[in-house]
Amino acid sequence: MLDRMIVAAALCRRLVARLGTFMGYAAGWGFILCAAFITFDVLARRFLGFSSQSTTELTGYALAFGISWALAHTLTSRAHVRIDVLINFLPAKIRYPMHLLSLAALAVFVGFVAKGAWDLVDESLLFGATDISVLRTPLWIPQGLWTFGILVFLVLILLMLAESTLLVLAGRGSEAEALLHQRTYDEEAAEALEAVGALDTLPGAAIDKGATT
Amino acid sequence: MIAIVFLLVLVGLMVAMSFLGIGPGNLLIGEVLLLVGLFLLFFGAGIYIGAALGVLGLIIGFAFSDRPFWTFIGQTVWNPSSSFVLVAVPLFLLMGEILLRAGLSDRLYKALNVWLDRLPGGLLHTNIAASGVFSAISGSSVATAATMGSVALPFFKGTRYDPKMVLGSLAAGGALGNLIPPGITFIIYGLITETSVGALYLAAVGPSILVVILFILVILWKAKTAAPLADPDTPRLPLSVKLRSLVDLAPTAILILIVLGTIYGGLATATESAALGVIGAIVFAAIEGRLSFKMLNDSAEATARNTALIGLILFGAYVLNYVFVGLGVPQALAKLVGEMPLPPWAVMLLIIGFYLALGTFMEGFSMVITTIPVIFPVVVALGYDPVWFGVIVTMLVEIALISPPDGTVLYVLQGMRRDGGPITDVFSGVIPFFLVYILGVLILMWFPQLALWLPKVAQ
Repeated sequence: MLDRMIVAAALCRRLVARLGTFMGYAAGWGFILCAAFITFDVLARRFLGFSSQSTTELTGYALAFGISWALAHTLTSRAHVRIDVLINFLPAKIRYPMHLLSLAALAVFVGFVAKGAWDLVDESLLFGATDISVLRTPLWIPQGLWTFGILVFLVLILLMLAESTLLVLAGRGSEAEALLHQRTYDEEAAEALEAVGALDTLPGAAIDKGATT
Repeated sequence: MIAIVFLLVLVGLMVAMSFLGIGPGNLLIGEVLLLVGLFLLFFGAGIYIGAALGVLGLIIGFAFSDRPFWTFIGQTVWNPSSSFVLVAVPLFLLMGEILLRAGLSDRLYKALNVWLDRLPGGLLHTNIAASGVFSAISGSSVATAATMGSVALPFFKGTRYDPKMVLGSLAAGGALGNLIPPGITFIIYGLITETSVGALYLAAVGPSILVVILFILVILWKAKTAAPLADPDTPRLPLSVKLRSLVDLAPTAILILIVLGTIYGGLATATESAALGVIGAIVFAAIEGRLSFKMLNDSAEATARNTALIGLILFGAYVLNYVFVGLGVPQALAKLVGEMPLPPWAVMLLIIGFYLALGTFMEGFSMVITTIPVIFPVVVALGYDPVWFGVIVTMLVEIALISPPDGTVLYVLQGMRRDGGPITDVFSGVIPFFLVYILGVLILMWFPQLALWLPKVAQ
């Protein structure tokens, strides 16, 4: 019974995580577009004598979009910052519930943020609020995109919480830990090295890479 | 360990003061202690920092505030999310990620070495210079240390350099990253405290030079034992070789010029410069033949991840701060500290000690976002300059990265060694740099003009 529930929870979590990862990449490309747009605007202002006059607003929206759409992906990559110096010294029996507690706290907080974001969109729609740039962007559009990212994040947290709780109950806490523990220095270093293309010369640096997928 | 002892001493000091009846806020001290306790409990339990801050804000709000504060959460979190100032952070991160993959670091190191190899200490200077230059265009100190380490360590294979100093100088170089403009810590500090990022970048110039000079002095002092003596008979490298090496330096130099030149020249805001830097980095990557969809895609992913990581903590901090401000906590704390029977510089020393302690187990951005909203009003109330304090905080964050036994950068370097030495090598190697860095902070305390004259002149 428990095992079947774990499989179901894991399946749902994977689906949402997949969506989150896709959204994370979209967020990243949003920043690249953002850089191109600002550069164009700066150069056009300097040399062509015109400007979109709404860089400030539009890039602000790109940031909001970028932050919120990448939240879920960051959770799946175990990159949200936790201080695990202390709990790493604790025995597994205490450590596993701590992981659940930290995820539960995240769920509570993000729940409130999601509610707040939802209300904000609601209000913007109600009053037909726009920004003060020349474009008069209706605020519900960027705020809606932003809220969507936060909602996906919240759903992912809840699914991970369900899955990890079931795993701990089933005595498979180590699997839950693999989902939740903070990235290690080795992983950070390995990522940087891979980026530089130095991994082939330093094979030992790839420790831990992929151990959690 | 040092961290915990120091924090306990700080708490003890506050308790003692409340017993002696110093300061009017006896009631407040109980609450502050409760808060600090909750804070430590949350952090110790390994709760996500953003969530810890946010939940703390919710608890305090529901407990003490009689206003329906939660109705403002949406707006409170939306404001920093869509801030034009903050856009600079992902853009600088993106630029760093692209450069990391553009293959500039290797050339940078070799080119600098051509110029520095005759100084006593040789390659050790190159370590500092190359890391310093690279970190000026890369956002993350960990990435800088990993990059420069991977490029530099092979050069030392089979040489008579002392491995301690080699690792120490690489770590120290990495710790210049956020201090040398354009650093990301400054942008976040500027956002939270509403200080001009341009002024912070100008103020950082003097202290950056100071720290680099201190590092060079350390190497010169250690050169006799740590580095093989330069053989006076080896022919000097002909000028033509030296000049040719400048070509390898050019991409990096041009990028720095684009980014810093436009900021300092008043032509662009930090955000606009960052955008120009990203496009510049893409162009250079294309020239190197390293530009590809996969490379951009990887850079985009890393940027999004690191931005979301900062974003979540900002969400929590802004919620907590909103509740705090509604309750008048920062003002009360500022008043309390102001009425302490201690001179301002002593309080400042306590704050510096607090940051050093915190930095041993907390990552830099988290530390700044978490503490600045509360500590900043105190600092201003003590009569210190906001811009000056921004530089001090950034230096402290950097010191934290290389402070044994917990500094992140130290473990990254240790992880890349292939000679199998103990981590204590890294610790003892970095200690002289660590100490002069702290000396730099103290010098800046004595001579705030070191940071402040440039922004003043520029006005």
